[in-house]
Amino acid sequence: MQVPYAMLQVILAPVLVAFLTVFFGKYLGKKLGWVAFGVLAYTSLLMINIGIDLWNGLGPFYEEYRWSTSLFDMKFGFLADGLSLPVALIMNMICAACALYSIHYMEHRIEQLFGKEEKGMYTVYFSIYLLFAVGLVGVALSTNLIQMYVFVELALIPSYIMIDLFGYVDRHRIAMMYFIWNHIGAAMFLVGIALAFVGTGSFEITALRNLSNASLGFWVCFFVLIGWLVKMATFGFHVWLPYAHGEHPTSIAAIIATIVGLGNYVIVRLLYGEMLESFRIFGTPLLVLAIITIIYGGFLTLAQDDFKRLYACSTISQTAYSILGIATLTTMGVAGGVFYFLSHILGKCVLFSIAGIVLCQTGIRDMRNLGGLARKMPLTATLCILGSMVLSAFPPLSGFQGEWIMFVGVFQEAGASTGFTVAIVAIFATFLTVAYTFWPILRVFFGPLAPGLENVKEAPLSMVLPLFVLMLIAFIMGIYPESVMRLIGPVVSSMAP
Amino acid sequence: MIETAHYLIFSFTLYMIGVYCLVTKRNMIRLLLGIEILINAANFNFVSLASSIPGLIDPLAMSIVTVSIGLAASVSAVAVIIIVYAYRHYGTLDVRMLKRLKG
Amino acid sequence: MSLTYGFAPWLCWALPTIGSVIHFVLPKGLGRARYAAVVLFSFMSWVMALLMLSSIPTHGYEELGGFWFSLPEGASVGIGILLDSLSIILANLVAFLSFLILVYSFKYMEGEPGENRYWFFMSLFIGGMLMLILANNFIFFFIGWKIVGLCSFGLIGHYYTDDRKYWIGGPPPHPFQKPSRCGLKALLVTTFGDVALLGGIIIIYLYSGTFNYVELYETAGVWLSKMSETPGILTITTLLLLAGPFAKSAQFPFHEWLPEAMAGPTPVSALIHAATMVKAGVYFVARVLPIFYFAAWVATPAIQEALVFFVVVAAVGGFTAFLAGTQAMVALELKKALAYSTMSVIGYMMLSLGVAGMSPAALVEGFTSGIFHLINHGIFKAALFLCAGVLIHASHSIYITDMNFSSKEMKFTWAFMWIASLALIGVPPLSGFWSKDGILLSCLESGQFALFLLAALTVAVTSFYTIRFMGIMFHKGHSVEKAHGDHKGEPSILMLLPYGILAVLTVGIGLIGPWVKESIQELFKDQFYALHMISAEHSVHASVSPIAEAVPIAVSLAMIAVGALPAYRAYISHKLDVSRILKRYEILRGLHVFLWNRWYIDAFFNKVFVNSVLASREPTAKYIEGGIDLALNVGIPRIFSGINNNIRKLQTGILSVNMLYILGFMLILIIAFLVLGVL
Repeated sequence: MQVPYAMLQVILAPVLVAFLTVFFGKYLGKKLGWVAFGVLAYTSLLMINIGIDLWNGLGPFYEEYRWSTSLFDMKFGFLADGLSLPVALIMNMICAACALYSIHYMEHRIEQLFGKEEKGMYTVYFSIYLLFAVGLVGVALSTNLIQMYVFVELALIPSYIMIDLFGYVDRHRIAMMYFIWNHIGAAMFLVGIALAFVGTGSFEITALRNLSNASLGFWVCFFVLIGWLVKMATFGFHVWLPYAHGEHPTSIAAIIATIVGLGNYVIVRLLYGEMLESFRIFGTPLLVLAIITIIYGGFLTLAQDDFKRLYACSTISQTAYSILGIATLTTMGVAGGVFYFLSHILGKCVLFSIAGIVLCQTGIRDMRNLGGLARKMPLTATLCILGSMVLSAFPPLSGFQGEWIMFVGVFQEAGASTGFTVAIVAIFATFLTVAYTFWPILRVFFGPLAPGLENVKEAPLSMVLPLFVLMLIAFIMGIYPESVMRLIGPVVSSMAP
Repeated sequence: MIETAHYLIFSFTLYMIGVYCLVTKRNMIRLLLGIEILINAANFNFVSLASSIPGLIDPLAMSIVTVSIGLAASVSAVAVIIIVYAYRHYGTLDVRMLKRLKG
Repeated sequence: MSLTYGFAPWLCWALPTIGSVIHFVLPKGLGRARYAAVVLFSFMSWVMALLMLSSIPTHGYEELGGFWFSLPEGASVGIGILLDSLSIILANLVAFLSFLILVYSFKYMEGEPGENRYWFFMSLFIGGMLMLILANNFIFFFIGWKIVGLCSFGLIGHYYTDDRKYWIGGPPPHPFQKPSRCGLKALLVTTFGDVALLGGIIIIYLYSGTFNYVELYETAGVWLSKMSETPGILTITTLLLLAGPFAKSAQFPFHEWLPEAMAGPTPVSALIHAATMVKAGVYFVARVLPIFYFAAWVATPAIQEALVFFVVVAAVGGFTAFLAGTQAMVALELKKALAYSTMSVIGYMMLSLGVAGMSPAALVEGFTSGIFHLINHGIFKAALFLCAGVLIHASHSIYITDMNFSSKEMKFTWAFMWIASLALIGVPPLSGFWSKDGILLSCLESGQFALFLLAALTVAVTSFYTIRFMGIMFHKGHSVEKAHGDHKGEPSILMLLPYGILAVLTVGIGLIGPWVKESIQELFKDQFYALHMISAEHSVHASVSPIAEAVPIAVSLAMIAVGALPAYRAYISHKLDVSRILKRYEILRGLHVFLWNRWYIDAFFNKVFVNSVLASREPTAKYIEGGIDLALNVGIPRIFSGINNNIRKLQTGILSVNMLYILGFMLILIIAFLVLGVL
């Protein structure tokens, strides 16, 4: 069933609602969350519809609208094929779930920061939240480089505003730090786009493969890659992430983690898909960087005592898994890398939300002061274990499928001649994940009840239920990976030479 | 016939005297005199170039000079007022007192 | 031969998996009857396993199943069941033991906290275990493998509140361990092995292009020779593959999690850590063994590197058997002694499988004895653990030194426990004797005399420690005071019946021992031929002379006596005073300390892995992360503000200086225009 202008609706509907909330937001107060959830659920349904068509074999869907004809000939286009749709859909569903989660969380936070009477702040939060969601989905669906850049910044600025307004501890400085780092990354991306324009004369993504000049191709790849590596917080560029992810309001935590991982999609779409020959030279350095990031991220996460910062540092390591898969430049590695990225953002959303629930209910972030919460918050503890399972690649959740498919690619690339050393190091690095996800569970949820926590109550259903739905999606992806692989697989195979 | 170059050299000399005065003098009244010398040098420059071609006087340059003399008078008036207020505020005519715009 | 009950294998593993959530959906009003529903599901699973028995294939194997999901570039992964003798026999064993233990725990867990969680994990565990046994490809197998590991974590850490009464370890001044930490330790050690196992599976996939067992067996010649072209790859794959089973089955060097795993409730220890999960490793070795055997003995040209597999398995198995046995000799906690004993016996099984491949003469004997011993051990060790649960419950203590039971008040338990213990020692005509004898025989047949001696020595050790703990518990004699408040007497019938059945079964199998062994042997011979492409001439069952067959029997009986005699004198007839002997001989004291500290292996691992990681936490956060953070987030702004501040100094606000700037600029302009001729 074809819905007319489906993808345009996906982008415009939340923007429209965000605009409208400015007017009637003050009267709704925190019910605005339901409005946000409704819109995002609607757009998710639209995308599921397209997804079902894709799954049944109908071709990729395009929508093109004229954007600018005078100076540059640019079209505002949307592409839903096997690669972009799962990414966009899962990101949208996570946004929808977090919208619901935010209702109770932001009530707590706004009360803390601004006092109970400031209902206007809900408007600010939810309208910006919707713009955020639009930005993410737009990046996944766009066909034009400038359009993609616009959406990248559209995802960046609202998150900056949210950290600045609702974050914790020194939030102004950290918001500015987050913004500067990410903007530098986006600026590098823009430089790459400009170079591509010089080379091909067009901003369309499909025009990239006509880039004949080899040295220009190298520089385009270089700038795009550096720009996104900064945004993906690989080792060396990662210092902003523990701060930014540790101190922002947890309800958007998952979404910021998604921005971080979005680079994987962009790299696959642009560099692996269109410019493979120029990109090939970056394969091995990227592989090494990814492994260093995984190992360093693992040890850094083990070193944390703060419950939120812990998952922030874990994002560094987990995003590097997907980069590892993509850097192998093999079909299995790339497909597995994208699958793992999808599974990671599901799991990370749940884990961050758990950290937020614990913070919301107990007010404590330091794990040394927490303990034994499982008897007071059994649902939360269960979700934490489920989320950790996703990250640690435990079947039957989705992390396992993504991880082993990716590692087939890694082993393929490592090659028998080197005795698979790189691949073996990489696969043992995944052991760190189990350590740093399950050990905090012990510290926070098991053991004797820490003093001062006797009155802690379980989180309300509106916070917990969306997370269970996300875990259900991860479960479905885990036991029926065909749901995703049938979409991603053919697209990635067609990208290979 | 005195050559235009000589006039220009003379006006340049006047300009340098004016700049020298602004650079080295501390007394605000002296600075004002220096500014006047500068303006005179500029006027002189205009006039000498206006009559550089023998037999022709550029009327535009002359009118500019006329306006400039008038402006110089108003500038001096305003400057004197500022100096009077500065003197009343700081108690001295030392121009180094006025450095709140630094940095 | 087609399968009479095609649905049976699927239901066999699906039923317990579904049953794990059944008690959540039943109405709360039913009370504990909800848990009876879970037991019912495991019973149905056992019935399904029995149905599978009826179609035990006499011509090799049967495969069911189909496509699961596609991979890029046309490959795909399937989901299915492989029914050959190995999987059917093991599935039956697991289903049967699981059912009995669930019945036992219905009574045992009455009143314990967190029962919902317990039944969930137990039933999910059974489903996962059956999944991994019945799977027909590596991926499906690995899923079951990991599920089993996860449930083990959940069950060991069942008493997650870490109340004092659930701590294990000690007695003071020795350190205690908390249950939640024990669960984490188990998870981490087994995951380490799992990670390596996944690596090995992927390497095999890269060379063979398939995960499916049948395809792997059939095309073994092709991909094995491709693999052997690069020297060292086969060795690396072997080591990676073996790390998984060694971790799961608690063999050296991954064995340290099993003693700590005793923090869980006793039925958990019985099911997971005696009867089933630790056998999963043995199952996996048995599964891949034919591939390596094919490489070493059947393929032409023979790939010598494949022998590494058997050497490693046998060596590790033999060493662990001895290592664990010696540790059991000094154990003070009942469950720890049984845990060490489990490790030791699994070492025997690994040893048997290892020597099976070291020469064609020993293949069938070694393989059969190993699996036969697995069956027997499952039965009598489960019985021992269930009895242990009763005894610990009755005496409110985990230490055998605190236990003093009378054989008259607990007649049945005493009898059943003795039967199981004697089977563990290997006393004829109980079941353990036949299988242990087979293991020793296969060591001889394959010519591994060093391992034979090690195994024989371990027999003596086994008999010593078994009689020791039985003696301390039941035969302390009347001079020792009985503790107060112990409720003696037999436990309820629901708890007594399971281990009674198991003890009777031990005796039963023992009486028909040779016949059972022969039939299993025939089944495996068929399997080797039909499924594994190993025909009869490649696995010559050496026609051993009766004298050669009698040697292992004689040796084992002698060793039993060597171990039993001192133990009997010390702990049952009390003619020997152990404490006085220890006081006299310092070397024995030193040995005692060494064995008590688990050969210092645990301490070593703690220091090298745990403490070093914990110690790295602060430097990583403070110096490395802090360093980069300082350099970039603080350093770069400082550079900019430094430049900024210095440039601001140019604007002094002093008129004279500004005029000088004007002068200077004019000079530059003059030079540029007039002298250099710019413009």
